[in-house]
Parts: sequence; structure tokens; C-alpha cells
Amino acid sequence: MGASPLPSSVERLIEALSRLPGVGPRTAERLAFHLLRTPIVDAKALAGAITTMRDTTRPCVECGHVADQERCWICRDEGRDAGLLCVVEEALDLVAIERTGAYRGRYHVLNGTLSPMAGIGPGQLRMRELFERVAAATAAGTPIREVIIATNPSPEGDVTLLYLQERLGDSVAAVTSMARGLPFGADLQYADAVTILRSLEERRGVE
Amino acid sequence: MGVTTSTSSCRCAPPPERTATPGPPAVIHQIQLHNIRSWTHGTVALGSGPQLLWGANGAGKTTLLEACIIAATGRSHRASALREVVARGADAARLTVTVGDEEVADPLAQSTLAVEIPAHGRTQTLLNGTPRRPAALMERIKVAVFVPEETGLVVGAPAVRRALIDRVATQWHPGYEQSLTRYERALKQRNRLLKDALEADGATRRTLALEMRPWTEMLVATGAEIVEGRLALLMALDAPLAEAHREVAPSEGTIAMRYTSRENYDPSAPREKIATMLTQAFADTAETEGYQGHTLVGPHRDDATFFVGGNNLAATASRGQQRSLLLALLFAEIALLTDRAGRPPILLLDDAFSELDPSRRDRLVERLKHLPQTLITATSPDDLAPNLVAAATAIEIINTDEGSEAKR
Repeated sequence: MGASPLPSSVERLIEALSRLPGVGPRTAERLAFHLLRTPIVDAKALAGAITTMRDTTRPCVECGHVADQERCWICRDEGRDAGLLCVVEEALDLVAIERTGAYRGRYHVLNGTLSPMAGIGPGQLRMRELFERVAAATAAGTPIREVIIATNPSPEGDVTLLYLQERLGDSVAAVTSMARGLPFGADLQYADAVTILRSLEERRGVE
Repeated sequence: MGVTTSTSSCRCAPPPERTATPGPPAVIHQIQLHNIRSWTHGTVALGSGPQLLWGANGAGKTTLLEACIIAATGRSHRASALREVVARGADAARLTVTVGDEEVADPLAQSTLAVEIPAHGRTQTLLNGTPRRPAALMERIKVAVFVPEETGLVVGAPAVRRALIDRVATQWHPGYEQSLTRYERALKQRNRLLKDALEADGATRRTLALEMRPWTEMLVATGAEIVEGRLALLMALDAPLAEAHREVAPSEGTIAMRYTSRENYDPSAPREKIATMLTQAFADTAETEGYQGHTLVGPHRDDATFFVGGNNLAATASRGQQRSLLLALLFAEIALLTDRAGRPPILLLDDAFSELDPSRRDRLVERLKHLPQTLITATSPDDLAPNLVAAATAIEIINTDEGSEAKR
């Protein structure tokens, strides 16, 4: 290996950037050079934003959402329906559901899905916390009525759903999953054949 | 419960005829390759009729056909994972296939199918520049394929026969590719779990068994979709295959292609029945797979057998009989993938003529005269029949220091 043509500080940044998801070595180089030429205040602001974010946030002890206190703002909100729990893979999925403004229950963030190839089993996800939460609510006389499992429709998301469904089945009155099919507001004629096929298979009775 | 479709009330069997989409446009106008195998960047413009892609070995001819197969099926016939096609040192490969009506150069009658394959990460498919699911691209292009990898179809490994069935089924039945992708993913995950269990102690093994159950359920659900699709495909291929074979080899006796599996499915078994049989098969093999550390049943182990005049071809086939079968299958594939409007698929022939003897070569040349477009690879135009070369557009593919390029 010959010596790098770049100072080691630049190499280090390129290496750090290339470890980010979706960033390859070429993109990392471009980003590093962009930061090299950008006004120093902007570069320092970026570095500061990363540090501040990490220093001031932690996972909510209850639901696992990103919080700036021990419990996140949703878990502290007394107006939320404590009998309704929505299980999501990532905090970003929670953000997407919150954006609707329609959901008034609480959440549980798993931090991923079951994936043996990635070495992720139930123990690597926040599943024990989920079962404990459900049991604690029942013990306190305020049982959770419904758990909505909102994992993604990937094989891993679906398997996580099946697993949770089996584990939660006896302790919760209702375990539900998100509906799948035609995108809302889209015309049938623009949907691809697979979507229409699956929607037909999962059709339901009209009240 | 909305996860799988095995328990659904509607049995949406694969279409009895063809997909109900408006039909694939007739020809490929252009193939653009970026960082794929030997291609750094290149554009090949194509016309209708036979398109002869010729050049030295390693020039990148087959890669052009491979790009069409990826656009049409989401898979490559010579890479087990798509990222294998990414040129060494590149972040990502990109292929763009422009398809459209045969005569007109109307841009509105054209569709651009793009597949972006990163060296790491998720492949993205785009239709006219907009991200869409792979199925949306597949509706726009159908290909019938003859590749050297499949010449050992009759006597070769079961994987070769499964690959052929999967390639045709993917293009024939809209939901098939998704079922297959989900199945393969779940299979890998489950095999990893079995391997982990093999090395684990008793207590851990019990928790892993609990984790195994949903993966098994997923394999049963998606596996039943695959088997149902394959059985339906073989049934639909039956008549066109027999007809094509009679034409290619009138003296050889009637051909039949049968699905073979440990479960021995009835050819018209409904999905629920297949799922029940698969569930039983998993239960039967649970103990053995526990020692072996991988999944022992499912459509990834199934096969097909060819019979001519009632005799199993794998045991008795001569070279000639094998060639007749390959050609008949190709013609049956063309018939099956021809849409309701009567538009046939694009034919891709990779080094096909060197695999065939003169009389079968003539039949193929005769057949492709009636097709809107055929892409043919050869090392030199001299390898092909003069009447074919005369009718074809010749495009030379050369490999320079800058990578492959095309010259008309």
C-alpha cells in the first residue's frame, strides 16, 4: 500500500462518511471535498449538530422513541389512549404515523425486525420491553385493548408480525396489522398488476 | 390477518390466458449500460427484425442480452445476485432499456425501463424516470430466451430447469416474481436460523425453535404461491409445447413436461392444498433438517421432468432429441408470452446457432422472420446462415480500454 495522497484527517472523514448507509467510497470522497470547501461556519455547524444531537437525546424508557427526557413527549401526554399500542420498526415509522394526526394511542419502537442473517433475534429487539409493558398494564388493571403491529411488508417485517402475533395473542384482546392493497387516492388503472392482484386477494366485505 | 395470502378467500389463480395489461411494446429501441461488467458506459441503438450483435469473446455481447433479461424478469440468468453485474470498483450499475412500438419513433409510445443496482444496498427500478416496483417494468417487456446456460436443460442440474420455469412464470403471471423474491429471502433467513440452532445449546435451541415458526409459515405461504404458479404454467405450456415439438421433431413422439417434487402435487392442486402439503412436509423433515442445518423441503428443491413418447428424456435423450426439446420449448415460450393483441415477445438468442444443427437452425431462422425483433449474439457474422445475415442489422461490439462499445 503506498502512502495516501491526502492528509490523514481527510482520509479519516472519508472513511467515516463511507460507513453511512447508502454512501459508497466515491460519494464519501465527494462529500468530504464539499465539506473542505464549504464555509467553515457551516462545517462546524454540521459537526456541532451531530454532537449536540447525540449529547441531548436518548431512547424513551417506555416506548423507545427518540426522547430528550427519560420519557418521550408521547408517553408523557396524558391525553393519549393508553389502551392502544402501535408497534413500529423504527422511530421514523412513528414519525410517519404521527404526521397523519389521526392516531391517538401510544407506540412501541422495536428498533428493527427479526433477521437471523443480520444476527437479530427477539433478544436484539425491544420485544421483552413490549411483553413487560403489556403485562404491567394488565397487572395495573388498565390492560391494553389492542396492539397494532405496523411493521413493513418485507419478509422480515411480516415474520416479525407473525412472531409478535403468536406471542401476544393470549395477553391482548386484539392484535391487528395494517391494511395492504391499493394506494389511497390512486386510480385503479394506474396500479401495477401485482398490487391489483394482491388487493383482489385481500378484498373485504362492504358494510 | 393480512400478511400472507395462503389463507385468503379469493383464489386468484394465474391468468388462464395472458396478463390483462395492454401488452408489451413490440421492440427495444435502445439499451444503455453504465458500469455493468465490461461496459463502462455505452449505448446501443436497435432496429426491428434480427439484430446481430457480433464481436470477440468477452466484448460484452451477452451483457446486452443480460440487461434485457434483468429488465424483463428482475433477475440475471448468469448471476445469483444482481450486484455481481456491477463493474469492479464502481459504486453502482445502471441499465436502461427503451421499448416502444415497432415502426414509429413517437416518444410517447416509448417507455424507459431502468434498473439501478448498487454494489451495496437495494436495487431500484424506474419506469420513465419514476421509481416503481419491478412488476411495473415487467408489464412493458417480455423476452423469450435461448442461452448456453440452459443447453443442459434435460440432463443438467435441477437448478437449470427451475431457472427456466421461474423466468417464464415471472413474465407470465404478475405476482410470481414477488412470491419468488419473498420466498428466497425467507429461505436464506431460515437456513441461517437452522445453522445457528445447530451450534447452540439446548436452551437457546428452544428459543430459536420459537423464532423458526414464523419463517416456516412464510415459506409455506410464499412456497404455495410459487408451486401454484409453476403448476399452472406447466399446464398452460402443455399444448404449445406439444405442438411446437411435433413441428420440430415429427418422428420423436409426444412430449410432456411434468412437475416433480417430494410432495407429488396434483397438477391442478389449489393453493390451500399445496400449503397443507408443504406444512406437512416441514413437520416431517423438522428433525432431519435440525441435524443438517438447512431447509430440506419447498419449491427450491422441486424439479421438472421431460417425457417423449412416455420415456423419461433424462435417461434416454440423444443430443438430437435434446436440441429438439430446446427449440420446441423456445417456440412454446414465444407462444405463451404472446399477448392478447397478438404481439410476440422479443427473442434473445445467445450463441444459439452454434448449439443447433443445420436443420434446426433453419427452423429457427424461419421462425424469427415472423417476430418483430430478435437479438442474436455471435463471434462473427460468418457463423450464421447467409440468409439470416442478409436480413439482419449487424452491430459490432468491441472491447476497448474504455470498456465495451458498439459500432454499426
